Amino acid sequence: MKNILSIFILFAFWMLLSCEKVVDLELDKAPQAIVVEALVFDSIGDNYVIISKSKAFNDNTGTFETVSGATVIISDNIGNSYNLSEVFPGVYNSSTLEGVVGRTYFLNINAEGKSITAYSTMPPKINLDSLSYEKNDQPFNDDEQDTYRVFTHFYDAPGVENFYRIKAFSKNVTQKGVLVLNDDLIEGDNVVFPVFQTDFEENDTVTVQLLSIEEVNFRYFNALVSSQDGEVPGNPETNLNGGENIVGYFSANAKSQKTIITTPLP
Amino acid sequence: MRLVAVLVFLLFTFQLFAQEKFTVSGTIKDAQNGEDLIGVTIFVKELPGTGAVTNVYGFYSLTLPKGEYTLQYSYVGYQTIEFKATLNQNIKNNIELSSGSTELDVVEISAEKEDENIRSTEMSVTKIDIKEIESIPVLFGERDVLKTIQLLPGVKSAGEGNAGFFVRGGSADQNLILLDEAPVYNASHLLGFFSVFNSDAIKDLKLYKGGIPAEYGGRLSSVMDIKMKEGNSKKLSAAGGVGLISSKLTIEAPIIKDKSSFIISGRRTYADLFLKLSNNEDQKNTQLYFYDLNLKANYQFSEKDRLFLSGYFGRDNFSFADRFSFTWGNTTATVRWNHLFNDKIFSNTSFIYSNYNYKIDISAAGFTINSKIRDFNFKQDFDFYWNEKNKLKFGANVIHHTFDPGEISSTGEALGDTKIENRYSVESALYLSNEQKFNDKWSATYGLRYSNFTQIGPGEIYTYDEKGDVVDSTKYTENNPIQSYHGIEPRLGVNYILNESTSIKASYNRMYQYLHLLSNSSGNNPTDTWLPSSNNIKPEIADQVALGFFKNFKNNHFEFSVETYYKALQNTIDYRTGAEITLNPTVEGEILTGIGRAYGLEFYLKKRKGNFTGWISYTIARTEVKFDFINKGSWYPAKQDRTHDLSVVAMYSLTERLKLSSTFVFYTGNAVTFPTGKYVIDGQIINLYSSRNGSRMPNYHRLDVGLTLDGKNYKLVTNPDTGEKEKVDRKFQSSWNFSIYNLYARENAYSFTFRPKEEDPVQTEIVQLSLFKIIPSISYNFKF
Repeated sequence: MKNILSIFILFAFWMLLSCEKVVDLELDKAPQAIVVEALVFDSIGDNYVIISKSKAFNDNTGTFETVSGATVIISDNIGNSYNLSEVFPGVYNSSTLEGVVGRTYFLNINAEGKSITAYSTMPPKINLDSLSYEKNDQPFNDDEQDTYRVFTHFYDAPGVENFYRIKAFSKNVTQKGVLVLNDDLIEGDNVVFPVFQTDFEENDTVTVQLLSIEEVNFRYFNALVSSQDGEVPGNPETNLNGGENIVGYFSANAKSQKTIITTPLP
Repeated sequence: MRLVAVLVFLLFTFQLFAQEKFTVSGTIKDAQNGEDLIGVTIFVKELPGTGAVTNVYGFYSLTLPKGEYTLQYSYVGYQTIEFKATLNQNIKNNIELSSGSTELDVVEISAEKEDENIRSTEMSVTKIDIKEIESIPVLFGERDVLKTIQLLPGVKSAGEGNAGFFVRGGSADQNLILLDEAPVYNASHLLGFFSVFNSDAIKDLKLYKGGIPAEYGGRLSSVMDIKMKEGNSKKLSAAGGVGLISSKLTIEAPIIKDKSSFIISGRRTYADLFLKLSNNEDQKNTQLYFYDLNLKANYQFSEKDRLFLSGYFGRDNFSFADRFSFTWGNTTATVRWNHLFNDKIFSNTSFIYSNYNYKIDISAAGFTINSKIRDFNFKQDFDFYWNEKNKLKFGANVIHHTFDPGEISSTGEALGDTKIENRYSVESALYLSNEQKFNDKWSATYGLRYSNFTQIGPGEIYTYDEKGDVVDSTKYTENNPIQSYHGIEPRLGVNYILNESTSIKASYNRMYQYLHLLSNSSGNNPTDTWLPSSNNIKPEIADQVALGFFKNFKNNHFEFSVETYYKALQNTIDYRTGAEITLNPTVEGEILTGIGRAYGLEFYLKKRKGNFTGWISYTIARTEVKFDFINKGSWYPAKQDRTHDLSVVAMYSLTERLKLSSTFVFYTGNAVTFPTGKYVIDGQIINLYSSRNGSRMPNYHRLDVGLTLDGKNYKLVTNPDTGEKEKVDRKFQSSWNFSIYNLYARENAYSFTFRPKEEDPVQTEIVQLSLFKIIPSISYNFKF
């Protein structure tokens, strides 16, 4: 009797469960896109421009191509101009550029015969007051190791629209996804906001950056996340100009940073 | 409106020149169970080409010049009755027809009743014979009208695990599904594996793909009109079935014999009951089931008045221990009053309630989501049997819609409660249509529908800029009109009979659709929400022309048709790239409107008689849309675009009791957006896309087989008068049904996920999800 019952259970599961497998699927070929990730921060030498290329989705060989030998210039609206030099293949930096809140920065790239431009104004800085953490409930898995969720504490400046990007990293864990938020629901509040999606381990040293970003960048990252998860897939709208097959963004950010160690909680 | 006046005037002039006329009218019922028979044809032998057809309440009326006539009442599968009438006064003639199956000798079937597909002005109409679907193999052995209709030309399944369907290139939300006149907003159970229609409770189903009559409106592509049984008014009877994952029971009986009856039909799945036997606590507490209940009662007050009450209640429940639960379902209720003003004017008044809601409760995270759409609907319809050449229909309809897109309430410290504001609107319509027989060869149905849609307060209404950002908002008070749309919808169908087995038909219709379904898939999900037209979203409009050729041959053993259509769409909707359409208070800003076009060719060949029956249906089609901000403003295939769609259904009676059946389906994969490349942002792999809907799902194909074994459902009895042996039905009838879904275990793709590899996030992989490989099932059905 027990056998029959277990067959029934198996059968019920077999019906409910579907079959998932990794497949080879031929995808359309598309021209390679140039990828630009350009950031300016409000401290000296803290800036970088990464230029790389896309590859076919099914291509799992090697690394992504970087673009070397590009001319990269960042200038501002009061007449300063900085030539960024290539510090690693495809990575460009200026050791003298120091971002200032309120200034508009202009990006000018000449790479592989393409001219790419963009601009971004650095929004006012919002200070990260402190970090805290708590142990995660593990509703679906009782036997795994404890993990910790880190919370940011900051005060949203009232009367203005603020857009934030939260970046977190530690020795052992890289942040999953991109975390951005606007102040629609937290306008003028004392905010306690979790670093969603990313769980940290015990005794991890976690650094969290609160970046004030422009609306256009907030939209970009939002669309980047939602277009990947796929309600309506597509390339997010970029603030880079220069024609087709260019993806990425340019963002001037005011940065506030804190570090916390996740000593085990009971 | 001037057109209407001209039309009415024309009809009056016809009448002025008429000679002395009388009317024969009545109701036609099934002799065994008293059910009204829909679509019975009445022919006048002396006047070829003259006749009538019973309406959905079994009523007919035929006005003829004074004289003697032989009226022939015929209906497929029933014995034909002839009636001699001396028309020198108005006659009431109620008829009961017996189904032919009880006779030993095959009832001679006259040609007239079987060539209805040739004679009727209706084109692009699909009817399902509820008896016929019993032997078609289906998933889990659960007979399903919605699944069966997808085997017919021009009607395409939205895919496995999806009860949605596409009609002539229209999206799944462009089908008006009516159950006893009540709109059903989500016709799927168990995430789309079953439809909400319990075939034991359904009497009749008709799907209009084109040439949609003026009495229907509100959706662009099709109308599926489903009528529930009235209930046996002769005697108590029951039917039921026990399957591997579901059981059902229907009971019907007279309340007052021949005057009043009821039917109650229930169904429940119990796949999850097996989980109770598990040792794992979580599995034990997992629930996954649905149930539904159909109820109907009717009462005949007098010769002229009859009242119907009908209701549907269904619910799906999916819960995982006490951490997560997700329930959804439809409720509909209809009160109808039939009244005969005289033997020519039939009236029906309906009050309809319809509700769809879903609720998600994630106790583990401490929040719930609630969403619903609710309608109050009043309908008044008149059938006016003017004379033997003209049959008029006219009426009015008012619907009050409440849209509650969603409320998130949280008990935890998360982000607080969010309520997306309710929206209210009133949809109304007036229509007039006429079915006219010009002569033996020509007939036409033509009409006009005027529809109006008004968005009303209360509510805070946003306006958006080109980017979809809120630029302004206005507060409206209760019942205050915000935005109004209206339009005239002409409808026309023409039939030209070439000879008694061949006809050519043409149709045109314009349709307005004021409600839009927000869906992130191509079909229907329980969490899809309806969005009304508003100050930002215009109604969708479709114009369709269709042309068809219909031919029956070999003495109506075979039926063949070929139809072609072209549709032009205005204000069709799609979403901005990266749009969030679930629980988004400013979702209207995510919507783009564009234009569309759909065209195709449909072939249908059916063998209706003999031991071997079945059909082949094939459609070749294209649906494209064009939006300013998508794919640089060029035409691209709509999600539901499918080039080829083929269905083959074959049934073979091995012996009188044993029937084999099989179904084969093949179709081109839907248009989808797949990445063409990948790149790195912030150390993470991001998919690179090149165009919306630029890729295709793999082709889908599947073979199902089934076997039906009837019990010994009759006994031979010697007739004392003739001495011959006759078949007499046993009181208890039963059958076993064995079926195998997806016999050759094809792994048809349900979806693809493009993701970084778990073990090495720099590399990517494509994961295919397939639903059903090979599913055998057994069910036992009975009735008495």
